Amino acid sequence: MSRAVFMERLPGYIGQTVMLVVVGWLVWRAVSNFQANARTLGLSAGFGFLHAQAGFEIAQSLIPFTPASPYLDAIVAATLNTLLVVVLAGVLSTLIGLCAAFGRLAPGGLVRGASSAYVEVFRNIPLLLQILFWYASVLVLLPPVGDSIQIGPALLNNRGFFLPGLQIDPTLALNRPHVEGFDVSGGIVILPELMALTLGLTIYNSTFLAEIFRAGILSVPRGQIEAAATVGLSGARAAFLIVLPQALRVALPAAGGQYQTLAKASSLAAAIGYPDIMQIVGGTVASQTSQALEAMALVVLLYAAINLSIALIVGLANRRLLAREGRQA
Amino acid sequence: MTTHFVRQTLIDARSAPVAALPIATRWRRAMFPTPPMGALSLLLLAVFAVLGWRFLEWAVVHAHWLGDSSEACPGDAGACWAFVAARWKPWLVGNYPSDQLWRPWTCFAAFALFWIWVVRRSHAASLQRVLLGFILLPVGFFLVLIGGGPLPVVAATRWGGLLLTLVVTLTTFATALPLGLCLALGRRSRLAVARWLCGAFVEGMRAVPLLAVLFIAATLVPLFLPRGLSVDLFPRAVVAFALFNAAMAAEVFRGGLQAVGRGQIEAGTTVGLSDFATLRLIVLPQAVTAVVPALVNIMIAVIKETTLLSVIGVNDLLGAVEIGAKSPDWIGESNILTSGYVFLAVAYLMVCYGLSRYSRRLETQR
Repeated sequence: MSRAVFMERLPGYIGQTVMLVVVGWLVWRAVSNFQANARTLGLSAGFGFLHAQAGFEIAQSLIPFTPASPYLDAIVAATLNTLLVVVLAGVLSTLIGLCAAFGRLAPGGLVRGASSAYVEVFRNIPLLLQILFWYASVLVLLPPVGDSIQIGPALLNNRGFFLPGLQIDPTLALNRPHVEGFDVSGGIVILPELMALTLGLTIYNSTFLAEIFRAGILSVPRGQIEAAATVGLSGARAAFLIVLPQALRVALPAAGGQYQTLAKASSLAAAIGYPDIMQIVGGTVASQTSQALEAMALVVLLYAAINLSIALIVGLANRRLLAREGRQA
Repeated sequence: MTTHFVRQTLIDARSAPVAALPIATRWRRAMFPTPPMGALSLLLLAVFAVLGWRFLEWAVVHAHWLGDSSEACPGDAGACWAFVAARWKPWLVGNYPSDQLWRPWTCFAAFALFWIWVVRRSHAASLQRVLLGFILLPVGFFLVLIGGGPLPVVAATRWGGLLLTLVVTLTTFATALPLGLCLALGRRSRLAVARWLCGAFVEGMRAVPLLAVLFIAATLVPLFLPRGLSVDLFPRAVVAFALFNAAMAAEVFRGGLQAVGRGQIEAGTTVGLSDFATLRLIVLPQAVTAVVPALVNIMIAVIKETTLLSVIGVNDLLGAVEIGAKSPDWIGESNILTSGYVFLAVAYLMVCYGLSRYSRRLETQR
């Protein structure tokens, strides 16, 4: 490197060194403060607590979980609960979003108006307020167990939505829920917390997805729709066979970002007590072990991992979509 | 015998389009263009009629308007607007001392005047004054609200409700935008360290839920501060909020910076402008103008996100409503809380919808 080039780059080198020193000093100060504080407060460090007995119950768990299970199991159960609500809300909001997007472009004035009103109203009300509204205002109105609403074989009351489940042991049979005293036994229960969270997340996200899909649909050239009409495809078939595949190609990257937002927004479960990552790991585990640093690190890592997986899945889907169209990603 | 694939006779000519269709026809075409769409319209109409009537019954016909405790609202047939009316003070200003109320009122009035000026000014005018206003206003608010000197000091813990929501929104906006711009520029910097640090910060923040950032600010940050130095929950929450939204703003600015063509920068260099002058005179004016609608959308997101403060125990508008419904006077039916929620929903809806219309107007004006 010549002297002139070095002299020109010198300020840059100095600046970068200063930046590194400042950031390093801040990190070092934070760590030493933390160590000093942890010593005075008598906090233990490390992830050894993961194998200790958790000692609390989780209202909804997709894996067998008892108070005797270790913290690790609690974290797995909480992660599965988060994934459950994300998948549920993701699928439902995609369906509703598609309907609303086509509705906003429909020829009928009333259908168009209703779809627009739906999108404009629910995207402009804070998500937390919507979730709290469904939880504390609507679902509390459900009757107590004794007066459960019977919908086919399912029961709906203020303890949740009880669906019949398949029973394998001892013989294959349908396990119908039935009222037993003040409780319901049998079947699969969908907790009111899960219902409220799914409702709120679904409705809120469907409005954003509707806008994304609408932009995708509008990006399909008019000639494509006219060509579909020319070869005799009816409205619905043209929509599904011609418009939607091309619209999805445009909308998928943006929709992927929205699914990531949805996964992050599912952390609002903590506000109504649905046992997800935020509530169990960031709340219960952090306070019981008083190892807030480790617990919050786990929370951050888990959400980052979920976000990354969504990005990967959407990226793969996008590449397949482009490959099928005979284009290179 | 031959089979004809081509029509042998002409179809009758379509009647000439009428310039102005009668209203009944236009209405029929809008509502019932095709039989399935017509059926859907009818169904929607029925649902709207039922829901609308039920809501009207709840919100107006059976509503309770007056009273100062939950006894004024028996049953859950009608809304409890008495709850909304009776607790206006904690909703607007929190626990702000009653004899100092002129200070929040001044802030509200100043903001209202400022906003009217922003919306009504011609779009050709320079953006600089608006941006300057957005930075000066929160500084002024803090000076007036906290006090000091001739004014008695009011701790931030006594702020609440709409006042707190407004202050947090404006402070976030005033700090997150400059910081976001710096982060976006840092990601394009020639210096590898700056690029790496800014990229890591932005991507890290974007991978994590806001609630987790707020939890960290509420529970973890005190552990990292030196002993003896304690910072209140409110400033910690505001800083967390600002940092999180700075990452969001950085992505918006990055888009704006990318929209400025490379040729613009090269042209700037060619006429002998320094790097900084090119940035200030050529790149930034174009980049910032391009992203103004997106910045308004960030503001909408910030307003909606302020509700999360109530989860970590900062008394924002939503927190004030929940505390109100738990106060001894108003404890009782869930209907009281519902009335508060509905009122809040309408308030947020009006503000955010208005802002989104404004953002759309900016987009089409450009």
